[in-house]
Amino acid sequence: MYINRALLLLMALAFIFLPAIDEWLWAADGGWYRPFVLWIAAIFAAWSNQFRRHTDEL
Amino acid sequence: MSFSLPEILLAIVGYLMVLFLVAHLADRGTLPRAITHHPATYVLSLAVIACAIASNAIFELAYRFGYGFLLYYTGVVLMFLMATLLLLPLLRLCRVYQLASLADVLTFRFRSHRVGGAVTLAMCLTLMPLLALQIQAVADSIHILAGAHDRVMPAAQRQDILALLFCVIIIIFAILFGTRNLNSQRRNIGLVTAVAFESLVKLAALLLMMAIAVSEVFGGFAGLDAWLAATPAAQAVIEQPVGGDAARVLLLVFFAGAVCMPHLFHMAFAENKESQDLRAASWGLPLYLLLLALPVLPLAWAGMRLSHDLPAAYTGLAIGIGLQSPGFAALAFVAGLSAASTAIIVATLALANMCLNHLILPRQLLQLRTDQSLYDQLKWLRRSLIALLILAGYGFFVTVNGKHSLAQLGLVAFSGTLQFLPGIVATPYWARANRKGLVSGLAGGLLLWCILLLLPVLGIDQPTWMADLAGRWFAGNDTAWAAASLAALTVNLALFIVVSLLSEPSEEERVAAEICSMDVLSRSPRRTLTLRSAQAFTEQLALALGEATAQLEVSRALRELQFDHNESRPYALRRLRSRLEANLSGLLGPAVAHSIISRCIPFDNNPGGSSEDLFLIERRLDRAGGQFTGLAAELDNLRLHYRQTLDNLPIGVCSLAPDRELLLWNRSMQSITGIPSSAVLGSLLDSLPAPWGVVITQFLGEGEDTVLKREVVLDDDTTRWISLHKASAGGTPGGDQLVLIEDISDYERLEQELLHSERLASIGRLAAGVAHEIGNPVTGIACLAQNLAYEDDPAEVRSAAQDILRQTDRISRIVDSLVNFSHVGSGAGDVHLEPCNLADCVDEAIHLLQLDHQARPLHFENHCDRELLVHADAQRLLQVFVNLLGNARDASNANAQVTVSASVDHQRVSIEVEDQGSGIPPALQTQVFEPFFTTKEPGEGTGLGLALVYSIMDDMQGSVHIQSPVGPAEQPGTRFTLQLPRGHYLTGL
Repeated sequence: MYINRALLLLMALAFIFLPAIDEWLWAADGGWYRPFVLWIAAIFAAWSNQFRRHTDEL
Repeated sequence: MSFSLPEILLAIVGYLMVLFLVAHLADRGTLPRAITHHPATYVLSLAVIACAIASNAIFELAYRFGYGFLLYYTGVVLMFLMATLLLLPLLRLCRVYQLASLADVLTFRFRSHRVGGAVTLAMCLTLMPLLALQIQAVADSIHILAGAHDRVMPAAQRQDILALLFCVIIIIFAILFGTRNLNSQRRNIGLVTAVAFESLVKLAALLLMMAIAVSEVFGGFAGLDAWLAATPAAQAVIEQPVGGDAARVLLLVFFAGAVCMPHLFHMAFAENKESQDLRAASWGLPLYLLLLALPVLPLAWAGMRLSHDLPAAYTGLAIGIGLQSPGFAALAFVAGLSAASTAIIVATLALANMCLNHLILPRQLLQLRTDQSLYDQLKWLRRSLIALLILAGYGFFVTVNGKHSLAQLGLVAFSGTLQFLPGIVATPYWARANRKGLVSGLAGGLLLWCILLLLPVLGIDQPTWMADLAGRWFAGNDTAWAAASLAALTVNLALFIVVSLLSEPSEEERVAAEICSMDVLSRSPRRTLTLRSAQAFTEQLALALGEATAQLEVSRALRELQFDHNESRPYALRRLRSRLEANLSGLLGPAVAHSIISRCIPFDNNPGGSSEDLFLIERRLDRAGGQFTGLAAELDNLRLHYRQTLDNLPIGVCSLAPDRELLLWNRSMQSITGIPSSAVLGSLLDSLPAPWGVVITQFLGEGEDTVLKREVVLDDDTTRWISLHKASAGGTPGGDQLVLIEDISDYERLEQELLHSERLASIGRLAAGVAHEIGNPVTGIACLAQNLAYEDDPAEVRSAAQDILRQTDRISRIVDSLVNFSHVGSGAGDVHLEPCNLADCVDEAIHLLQLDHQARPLHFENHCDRELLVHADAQRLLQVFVNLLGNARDASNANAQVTVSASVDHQRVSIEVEDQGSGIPPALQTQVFEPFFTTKEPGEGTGLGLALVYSIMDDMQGSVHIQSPVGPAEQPGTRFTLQLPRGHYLTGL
């Protein structure tokens, strides 16, 4: 199966922490660049996930 | 601040020339391969999705939706972050089956060229607003830069002729860029590198603009923060709520756009076949888009601060004008131009391929000539289609007439492509989906999309009742398009699901669904082809493609598979057929390729030849071995265990399909035959090198399931002995057959050595008698020689000499008999069958036995016909009689009679050796021919005598039987009956 467990776990975590993330993201005193910080975190997760498999499974 | 029109046009041509130069250098290999084939180049080429929306319309989205503009990027980012869900399965399909577009994938999955045609038409329709958007962005930018920024919006004053000029320039470059490489199988390095270069230019321009704007307008980021805090209107932009229906639909359309937009699909799947590159893109593209999105808000705020009257989409140009900076304006123009031009080039190239493969070729709208180069014809067709599509986009642009903003056009286009999402998702995930459902859903969804979104954009009024309903349902412009998109998608989905559930998919669709499903391993039927060689493939394909093209395609496929041009193995030919279909699919589309291959290289309709292609399945399992987890991994381990057990068996095992294709050839088989498995697996039994093909074929044709011993003479004249067994694999007759071959050469040689030892033992036993027998004539010769010394009479001398000669003849005969006897079978088991005199042979055996004077005296009687010949090896036959008569003597009392007689029955001679000895009990009669079985006292017999008799008779195509008792109870006796073919004197000599 192509659906990897790391992705499912990440989606579940994102769903659980969505309210807290939402509150932090749109806080009145927060910088305008905050959404980009979250974006970078997602990129880091995807980057680290690509090393999980070394074989070309296609 | 303004530029002249020639300056602007020159800048456009100059920029496109740079792009062309990059493509040219990449194609020629002047640019290092480390750059052109680097994953980063592929990732940057995917940024083609960031068309003029990312450089222009994004500012309008930022003003309208605040942070909601990020959803444009987030949709694409999500699709790539979750690449394993949809993109990797699609890449697998595209790579294996050479699919290059969305229409190819849906045609392959739903097995209908009508589906491909419908998808292509719908795609052309939905892409028109996007093409118009690109043209409008460049045309408006030219107007603004030319100093006519106050005349952008009024339609009557638009200089559409400039837009047409831009389109003509783009057509030329699109043709030059896109149609160099016809086959989608090979990566178009030039195009990929040029698009990657364009993405870098776009990103560099926007980042530079941000740096200049923040520095010049706000005096740095601190100034920007201070201005933001002091400007409620600017704060309000980012404080707009992001949630709500509109935001969700925005996210959905851009999420779908990441896989449904033909230009992104083309770059992602047609120009790349490596999953590693796609994995790099799963974080690389989000990173690129992050950098691309970063300047949007600062630039939007700079535009607000400079308070211009241009449309929001041209904020970059407005800042340049506001700052009186031609360089800034030029940067903004280049960013927009690069984004728009590559989007148009790649989108029309992808659409042209779809039109060619799904509208023109399958319906034979244009007849391709087989006497001309197929590649040239396809190239010109593709070029014409690119020109037509760009002109159609221009037509749409003129029709829209500048009444709508870039963002509105973009949203309409993305809403249209959203309608393809159900089909794409169903491809790997819903096997029940069928073509009727897909076409119904697409038709319903696109009809609603046309009525609610496309017609209003075109300026065509909606029906009154529909306008009333829309007005009542959709409050406000922003939610109206969102609700319309959602309504179209809902209708599409509902029809797709309901119709698919109500109608049955065809058998072809079921197979395709299985192939497209998430399971890596697809069902692989092993079907028999009617053609038997690669050469025959070429000849048949030449009828459809022309001789030159057929030869090129077959040669290419053979080279890719690393097969020889004389390939004739059925397995290899099946793979060649699949590869040819995939390659032609890249050239002509899957529908036409399937049709040509089915017609020219058909499968045999005989169902008897079809079964699972075990060899192919094993190869796939071996390749995929590392990925299995849980139960699948356990099963794979079990498979490997049994596989290794089978491979390491000391007995050769080969499995044959009903059509005599070799499916299994284990290691022992390789060592016995000297033929490696790689050379025979997948080939026909007839093609096996001599003598093995003949040996196995002959054995399969015999009624017996087991042959205990068969002699095989190899090419180097060495001899092997094998035993053969056969069985039906699976236990069903007519199915696969299993042949076991055991090499018994060593056993056979050992047996011969033992038998030879036994003969030597017999000679040892005879030694005393022989010494006595030779001693007598030697004594006689000695006496005669002494007499000769004193004899003068010539007559007496002659007489003595004759006596000496007689005595030496006698010695020679004895020695010859012994030598003959000891040499029997001492070679490598060669049997020389020839006519030999039976009575002479029996006499010789009797004579040998009579040399042993210590043995009890017996009367041997030879009643065989003096003229009777048997077809046998004389020396071996002598061994048989020595053993039988010797046994008879051991079992008989002194002066008993042993008779040898013979009779002829047709062409068989029956020889009986009968004694009056103690006989053999019936219980032991079945064992006496076994080696080392003896009833004699320990030390008196080796137990090999009768085993040797059996073995020799078998070698001479004869037989031996035992019968006991044959006489009265006091002298029960034993009769051995030998059967041999009758011999005849050679004639004609």
